[in-house]
Amino acid sequence: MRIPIALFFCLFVYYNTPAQVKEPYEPVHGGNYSGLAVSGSPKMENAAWIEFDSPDLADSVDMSISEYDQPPAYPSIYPPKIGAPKKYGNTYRLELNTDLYEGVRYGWIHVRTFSRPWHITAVRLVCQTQPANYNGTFSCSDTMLTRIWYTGAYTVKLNLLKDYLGAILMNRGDRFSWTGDAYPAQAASMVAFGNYDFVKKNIDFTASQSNGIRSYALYWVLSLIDYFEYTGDSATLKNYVSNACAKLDDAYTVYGTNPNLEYYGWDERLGAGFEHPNLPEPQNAYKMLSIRAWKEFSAAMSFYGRTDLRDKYNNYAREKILALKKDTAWYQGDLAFMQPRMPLQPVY
Amino acid sequence: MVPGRFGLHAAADAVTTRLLSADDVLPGVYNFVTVYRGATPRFSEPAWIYPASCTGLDSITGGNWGGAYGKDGYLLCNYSGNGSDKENLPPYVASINYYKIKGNDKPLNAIWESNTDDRRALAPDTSNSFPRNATCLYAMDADQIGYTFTSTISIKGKHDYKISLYFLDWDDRGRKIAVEMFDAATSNLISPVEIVKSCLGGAYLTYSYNKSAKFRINMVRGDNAVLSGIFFDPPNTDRRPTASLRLLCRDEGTVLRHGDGIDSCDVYGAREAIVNKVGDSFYLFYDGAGKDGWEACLAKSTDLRNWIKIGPVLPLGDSSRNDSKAASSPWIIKSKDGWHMFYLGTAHATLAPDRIPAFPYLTMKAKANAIEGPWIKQYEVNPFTPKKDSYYSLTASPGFIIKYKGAFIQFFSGSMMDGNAIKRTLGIAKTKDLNGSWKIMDKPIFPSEEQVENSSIYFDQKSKTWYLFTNHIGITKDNVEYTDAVWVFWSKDIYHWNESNKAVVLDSSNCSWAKGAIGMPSIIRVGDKLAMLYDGAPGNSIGHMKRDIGLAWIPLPLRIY
Repeated sequence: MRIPIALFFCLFVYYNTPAQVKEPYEPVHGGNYSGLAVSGSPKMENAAWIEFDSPDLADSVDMSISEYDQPPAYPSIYPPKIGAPKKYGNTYRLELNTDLYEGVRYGWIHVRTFSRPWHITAVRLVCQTQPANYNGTFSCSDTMLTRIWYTGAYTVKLNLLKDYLGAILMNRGDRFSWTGDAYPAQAASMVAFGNYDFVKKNIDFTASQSNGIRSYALYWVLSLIDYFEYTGDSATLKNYVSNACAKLDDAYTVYGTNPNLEYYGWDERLGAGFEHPNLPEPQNAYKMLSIRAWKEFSAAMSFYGRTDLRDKYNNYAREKILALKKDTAWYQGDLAFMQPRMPLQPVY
Repeated sequence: MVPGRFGLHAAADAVTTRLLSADDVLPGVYNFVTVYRGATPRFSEPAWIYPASCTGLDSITGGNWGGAYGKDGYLLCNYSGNGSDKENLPPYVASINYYKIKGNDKPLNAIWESNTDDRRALAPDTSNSFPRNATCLYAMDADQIGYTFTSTISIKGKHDYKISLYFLDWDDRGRKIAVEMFDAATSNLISPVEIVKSCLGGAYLTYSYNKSAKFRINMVRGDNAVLSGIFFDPPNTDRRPTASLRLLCRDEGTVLRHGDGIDSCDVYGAREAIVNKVGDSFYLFYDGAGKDGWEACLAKSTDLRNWIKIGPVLPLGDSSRNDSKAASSPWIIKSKDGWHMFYLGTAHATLAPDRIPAFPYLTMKAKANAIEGPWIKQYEVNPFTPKKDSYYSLTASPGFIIKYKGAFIQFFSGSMMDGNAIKRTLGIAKTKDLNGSWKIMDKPIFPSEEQVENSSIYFDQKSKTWYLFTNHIGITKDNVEYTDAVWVFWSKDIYHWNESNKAVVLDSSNCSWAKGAIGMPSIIRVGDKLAMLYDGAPGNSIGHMKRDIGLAWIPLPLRIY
């Protein structure tokens, strides 16, 4: 019996004090500001808003945020990252969207003029994340591996936002991760936090969002398999069998035809993001990913009891593997990215 | 017995089983234990090796590239406007292309200012004349992925070359630019990412490579990433073999200055550092250029930074001896019967006061019961001598000694005349009796064209790799030879070395105080890094005199890039 936990869909809100406040900061090129530069942890960018307290501010100020150590100078097509703060009592909060969060690592309070001295009594970064306990643990004699595991888990924890896994891109202001990006994050989240319902919600949300990226469609299938393997939730699997089959069948249809992949990874060998995604290297990587997705789905169907689908996708995989084995020159060069487990986040 | 049904699941023909299921399991706590068999594989971090290298950033030359860059050819980006470059490409360059996503697949172009007398703008030709055009290519698309562009340099076949990219922040927009270098055919990253932190006055970033390359120009700060020129030069001025890789090394600066040694033993200079450790103390033998000539001197330290000079340890021989003009550069090794020293002796030197030792250099012997001496010369021992028609026909001077598989191996310096040129390399001498003669291997470990001398060995236990630190002899445009860098070679086999496995350790680009002559290295491990003692001449001097001893640090594992 599954017991709903009321807190699950709540947000945990807390605040961080700045790691550093600099006065005056070095003005951005082309700007003419004076004011305070506020920076957070050097290793963390968090979904948050920034605010300060002042009991005697009588003049107007602006506030801005950035991932970088200087105020952003993005083209006008992007949502602004600077604005006049809203006043709540003696608190001044930069509100750039209705969700009340941005990716904040650096913040500024821009004081351009003032008629009389005034004081700032506090500066805060108010963060939000889903509450999640560490249900998983990891311990290894190689402490570096242990540190990597917990760093990965913590990174995922920071991105457990209100409804979905977050992926804040400063320029465009994305709010949720794409399917390929979510694939490793969801797997890590289930291992570390056991928050299966949250992951299920993210799978639901991204079920039809591959953003034109063929590999991401397959990563969504792999995420579904991960979820099923961790939970045994056959009802959800059943709900998405046809969706997954459509994605897998499409991969079979275009296999070997050098389809437009749109994106495979930021590495230069994978086509440098959206520049050259259809080079031989990413095409080969996509083939390998297809075979892997068929095999894993076949295994899942074996467990689920759909022997017809088990055999179908296993045959797909076997057919392509046999063909590859017959062609000894099927691949020339390095195999560095033949089976990418961890897609890199696209910034498109 | 655990109630319920447990099963392992896999695809029909899967080799590995990946899913464990538990059905009809009663409530309770279950422990699943996985037992691994066999030994855990050991991980050896491989050395960082990049085929190309960035050899320097020049923020001084500005737009006056004539005479400094472009000896083989050049390209001035958008110099004629509308994206049209002014170019005079070398014969070995087939083409230069650009790419930027979106738009017309080309980077954008701009003429900041035409007919300017600002020296930051690239000169129109090698005469560095005025007026000039301040122009660039840049990337600044509406989407953030459009803030990067590439330039691909297609080389005909294989050809060693230097390429310099010129960046200019003409309008003071705080530009910081990241440059990535890839092999054009494989798209492999072939040199670490370089950041041009400021190019307000113009900055050249120079790389060495031998095949087609692709550069990615990325915005880090400022409005956009720009590129104003591409210049081609020969790989080096004298066509000697070069090392295109580098070993990560951080210079600390001078730690022992010449001039105040006992009895004026180093009044004219201190060089040829050789460091040893006994107990908690480091002992530094160095060549003191003193009032009577060059003699081996000794200093002592506990931290490698602060040295107490003990004074000369090897007096010059009388006029009948082969060490009458110099008794220097002592390599020592401890054996059961005490300490053994192999030093450089010569009966030839230049005139006073410099008294620089002159060829031929010979290997001579001394012994002592303690490292601080007294050292007793053994004129009766003749370790090895120059041999006619060999790679050590001119000199056969001592080098680093190790005990390896029951024998002593010495990496000695050998030189020979080739026409009017001196060629230098290293050879291996071997003996089981430190007071006997040494057998010299017929072939040097590197071709004599490598122009290296002196040696210091480090063996990395993890990677089972030998590293040989040595001194490279460069040459000026005026054909003046001088020790211009410390190099390192590496090999898995102590007897067989490949001259292509080499990297620059220290030269004028990363030495903080010596920008000309950088002399003999001596390596010793200290915790998780190597300490390297070396000599150098302050400033741009390439002279033999007034040198001091410096200290540099090399982190472990060694990082070659």
